[in-house]
Amino acid sequence: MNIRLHGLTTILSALVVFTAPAAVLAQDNLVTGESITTVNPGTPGKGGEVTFTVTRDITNWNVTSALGNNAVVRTVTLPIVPSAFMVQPDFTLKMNTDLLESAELTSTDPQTVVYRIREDAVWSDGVPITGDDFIYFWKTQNRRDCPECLINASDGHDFIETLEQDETGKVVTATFSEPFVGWQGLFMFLYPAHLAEKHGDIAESYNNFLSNEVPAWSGGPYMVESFDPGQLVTLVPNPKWYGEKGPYLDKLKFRIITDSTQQLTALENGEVDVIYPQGATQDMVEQAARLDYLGIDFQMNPSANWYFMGLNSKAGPMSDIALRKAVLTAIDAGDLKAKTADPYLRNWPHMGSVMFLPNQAGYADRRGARGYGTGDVEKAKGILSEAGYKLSGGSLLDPSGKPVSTLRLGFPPGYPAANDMARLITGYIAPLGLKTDLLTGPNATADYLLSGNFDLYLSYFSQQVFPAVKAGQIFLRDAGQNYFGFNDPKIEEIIGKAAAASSIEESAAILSEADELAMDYAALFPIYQLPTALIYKEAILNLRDNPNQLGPAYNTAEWGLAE
Amino acid sequence: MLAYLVRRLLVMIPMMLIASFLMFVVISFSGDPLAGLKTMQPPPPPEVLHAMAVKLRLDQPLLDRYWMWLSGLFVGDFGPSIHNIDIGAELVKRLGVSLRLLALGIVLAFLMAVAASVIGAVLQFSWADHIISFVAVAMISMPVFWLALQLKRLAISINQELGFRLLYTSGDGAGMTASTPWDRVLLLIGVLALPTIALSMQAFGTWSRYGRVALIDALNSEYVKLARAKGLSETRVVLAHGLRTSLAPMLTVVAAGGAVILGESVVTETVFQWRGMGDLLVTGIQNNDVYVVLGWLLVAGLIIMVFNLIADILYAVLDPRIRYER
Amino acid sequence: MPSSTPASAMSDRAVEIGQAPAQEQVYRPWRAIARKFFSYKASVVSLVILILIVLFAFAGGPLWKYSYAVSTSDLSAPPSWEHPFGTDHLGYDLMAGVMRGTQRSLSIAGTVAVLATLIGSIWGAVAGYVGGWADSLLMRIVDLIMIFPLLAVAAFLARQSQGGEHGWLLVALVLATLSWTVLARVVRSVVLSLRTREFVIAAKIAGAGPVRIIFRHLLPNTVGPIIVAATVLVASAILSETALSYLGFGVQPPDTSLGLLINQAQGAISTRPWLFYFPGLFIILIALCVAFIGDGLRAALDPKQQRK
Repeated sequence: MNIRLHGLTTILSALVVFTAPAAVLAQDNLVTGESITTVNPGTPGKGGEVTFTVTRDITNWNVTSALGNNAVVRTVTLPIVPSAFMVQPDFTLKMNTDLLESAELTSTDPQTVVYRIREDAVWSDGVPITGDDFIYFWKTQNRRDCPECLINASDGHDFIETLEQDETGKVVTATFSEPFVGWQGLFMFLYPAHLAEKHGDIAESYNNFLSNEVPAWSGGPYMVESFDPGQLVTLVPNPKWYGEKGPYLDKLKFRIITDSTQQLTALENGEVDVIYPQGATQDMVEQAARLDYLGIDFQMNPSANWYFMGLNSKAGPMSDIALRKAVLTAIDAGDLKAKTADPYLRNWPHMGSVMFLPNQAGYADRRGARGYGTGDVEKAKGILSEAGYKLSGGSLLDPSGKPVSTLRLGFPPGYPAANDMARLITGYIAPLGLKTDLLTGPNATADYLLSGNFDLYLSYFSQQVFPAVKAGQIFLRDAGQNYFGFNDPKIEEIIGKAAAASSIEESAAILSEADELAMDYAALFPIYQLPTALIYKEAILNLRDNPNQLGPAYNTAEWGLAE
Repeated sequence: MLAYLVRRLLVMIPMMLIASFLMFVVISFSGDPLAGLKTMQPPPPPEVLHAMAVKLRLDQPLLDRYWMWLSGLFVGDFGPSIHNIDIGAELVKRLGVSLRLLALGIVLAFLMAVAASVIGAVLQFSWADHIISFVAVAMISMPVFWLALQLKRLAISINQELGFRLLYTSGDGAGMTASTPWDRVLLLIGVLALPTIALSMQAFGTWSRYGRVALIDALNSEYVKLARAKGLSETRVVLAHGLRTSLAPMLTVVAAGGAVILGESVVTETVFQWRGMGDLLVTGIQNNDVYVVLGWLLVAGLIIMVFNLIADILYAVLDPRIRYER
Repeated sequence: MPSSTPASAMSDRAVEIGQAPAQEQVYRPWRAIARKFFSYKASVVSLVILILIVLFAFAGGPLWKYSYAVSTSDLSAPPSWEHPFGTDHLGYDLMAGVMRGTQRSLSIAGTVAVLATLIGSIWGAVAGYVGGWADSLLMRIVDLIMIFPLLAVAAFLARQSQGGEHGWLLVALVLATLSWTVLARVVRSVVLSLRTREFVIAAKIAGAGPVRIIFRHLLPNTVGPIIVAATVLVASAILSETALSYLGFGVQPPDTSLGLLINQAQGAISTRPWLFYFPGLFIILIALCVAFIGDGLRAALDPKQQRK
């Protein structure tokens, strides 16, 4: 019997493809060069359908709740749920002029903000959007009026002491208990209070009505027509849409394809029109670049998520700052980026701060300034010998003469780049006499990061528009994401001051000092930002990547097909 | 016979109880169902985590939790899910989706296996027989998703040749609409073709090998030799006598293969993005959704028991040598 | 109890190749069996290929000029004389990677086969020989394990895998724990037919204890069916491991396996196809060879199956 048929055809087909030039990054269809906030502009015609791909099923429709706070729910509900302010692609906040006439800081002591809602802003049942909706949302989020509300995070709504409206309901005044620089980030999502009222008390309506029921209401350009769980959400224009532009499409569909590789296949087969896979890989970008012939363009940007390597300063060998600094010095950040990012990401920026993204006010390369990431093994050895470590027979002995234990280097599954980085970092620190055990698995985050069972951990943090707010989640002693043992009262004090600053610039200036101190602490090593990739049919106008947490669905009212 | 079946079923009940308890313990100790929440950026407030823990009965002792789950089953309550799913209703819905795929896959595999067996048995040791045998083994040896991904590439090429999208690479057709009846037929074919082929290949390989041997045995039996001696045409001998005799063991194998193909469908559904039982299991495991996994295993166990029972009945009915005594 | 094996005994849960094993035990000299086996061309060719693959996997690594752990400067290179299987995006040589992956996959399959054979044959022999309520109990446990789809339970258990250098061992243990039941049924049915035979009764009269009878008289006579069933286990273990890896519950990096290699390369199917095809071809080749070897063994050990 011979090895035939399938085997043979497979080999043949494989050989045919092998002869094609491999890994050539032409990227003619990579849309760049224009401002990120205006890329892919146009005046669309009325009508048509767009199918956008999302990565997971929707089991909770309330994006502000603990169980609904993910990128997919955000994407699908952004066309439905009105917001006071929106994060723009350039990572600035812009008032939603469709909803609000103005939002002004009228006093700083106590901090007071006055929102004026536009007269014509209404819900899809014709009921005006008023201060009731602001007050309802505030009560769900402030942890005082509804401790049972299963929210994701208060996000500063707890700083509002009182929230009042005038008799028209269109002027809402918020008085803050303490100054809060992030006030523009409040009321990012508003829910219809008049409908919630009909579904029990605040907790019941928030945890059940708004979370578990498919929204039959809308305050945005589109509203839900149907939902096939696990498969498809279909939106149609909201007949009572009050905004200036759009909506242009007859139908906006969100198709659920949980595997990013299969999303690209579906796009190539014309089953979907837009994909926004989480974690764009080199394979994906190369394949997208080849889809030029189908009229497929793509946009790529550094996202608000950035890779880091954290060092466990609470326990184990990394509790010694000298060893931490030596490790950070031995890592070759340039080589790391050159091997894992540069082959497919153009002009990718380094990340030299643990509190600011490179495009945020306050950013400076504080990593390089300390010699971290230079790959300077001799300097790293110098730091170690000064601290009493000895290199003997290829392994490192600590000042008491005991060999330093093998370092447990963890990383989450599903991020090929993290896997590559872990292998590379192992190589960078080997000359110091350090060995690593790479640890990952489906439970990696819980098994290693949350339980403190690691020495080094590779993962990513999501940056926010207000760096002081995010810093408060990582660097305070009791912060939820202080996995690496930051324990510096000075850093806490500065973060507190920065959070209470009156402007984002002032806040950044204050916070950069905390950034310096956090870098001195040497427990968190910033690497670079994760990429986003928006891959779409070129006929879709005004579709643009919004690489921060909101994603491309921030302007669905403007989406439409070229005439 | 009936007494034997009843006894077999009765024995399964305490066994299922023990198995469910073991599974419950293993699954309960296997990971933190709240890990997903705890790793959010930022993590939810402690009160929220506590409320979720209460909802998932994590504040109760293990034995109590098991008892609550078990007693809930009798009133159709499959326990709480992290994601607000009514597990019972979800299982029923998903089972419908999966059975659609399974039924088609089994039928396709069976028909192909019968055709292959006939060729293989009639033309025994010919080139056709060798090639078919080889293809059968190759299909058994091929990872399902490896085949599925190539089918998808092939489908894209076919569609581009045709100039319209006949074949779909993902989804079970939910939310897709067609205006004319003809379009509806095309859509149905387009959605079902790839997953059905991917799912049926391995079963085809296995069953055609059984079928070939069974048919050869049947054709060598005295009974068929008698038919030949009576001067019946070879076609009639093969189809009317040989095939009829060999269908019995084949059907038995098909029924007994239910467990195999149910396992296969987990991979097939994942590749083709069908929201059936397989997808429910995979997301359940990923989310550490204890009661989803338990409910899934319960339903899968029952289905396979039914398949096995059918196999035993077929075997007993079709093969007179078996007697169920004692 | 049915007097013969119920059909569900044939329902191997992963891959079943060929027909039910021989029920009749017949003494046959090994030399005759070997001669018969070597008369099957496909089986012999498969055996040679499999031996070559094993050598490639276990001896190839040290001999080959590239290491799976050291990257080269050839990024994403298609197959060439320098890199017969090409390289990946970090410049790792795929042939070195496939060698290591094959090594791991074969180790998994081998571990599963050995463990499952040990547990399953002892379990089945005890059940068949002792009989009575012990037989019922033992075989009900077997039934119970078999009613859950292997892939589902394995996915759940293997999810506990914590990576590391020995991650593959956990996957192997899980698969072995779930697949020995096939062996138990096969061995039990053979033992049932043997225990009333003269040589067993003679041993009993001579005063041999049950342990001695099982290990000295019964198990040696079930070697044929055991070997055949074990070959099926090898193939099914490799495919189960591949499926687990695809679902994300199999071997974890930095450890590797053929299944993990194709899973990691699935996005590369149209950009750097060699990454996807070579590991896949190795899986098929191994499973195919094992299946044909199993066929040959079965035919050689089964007096009823005669080639015309």
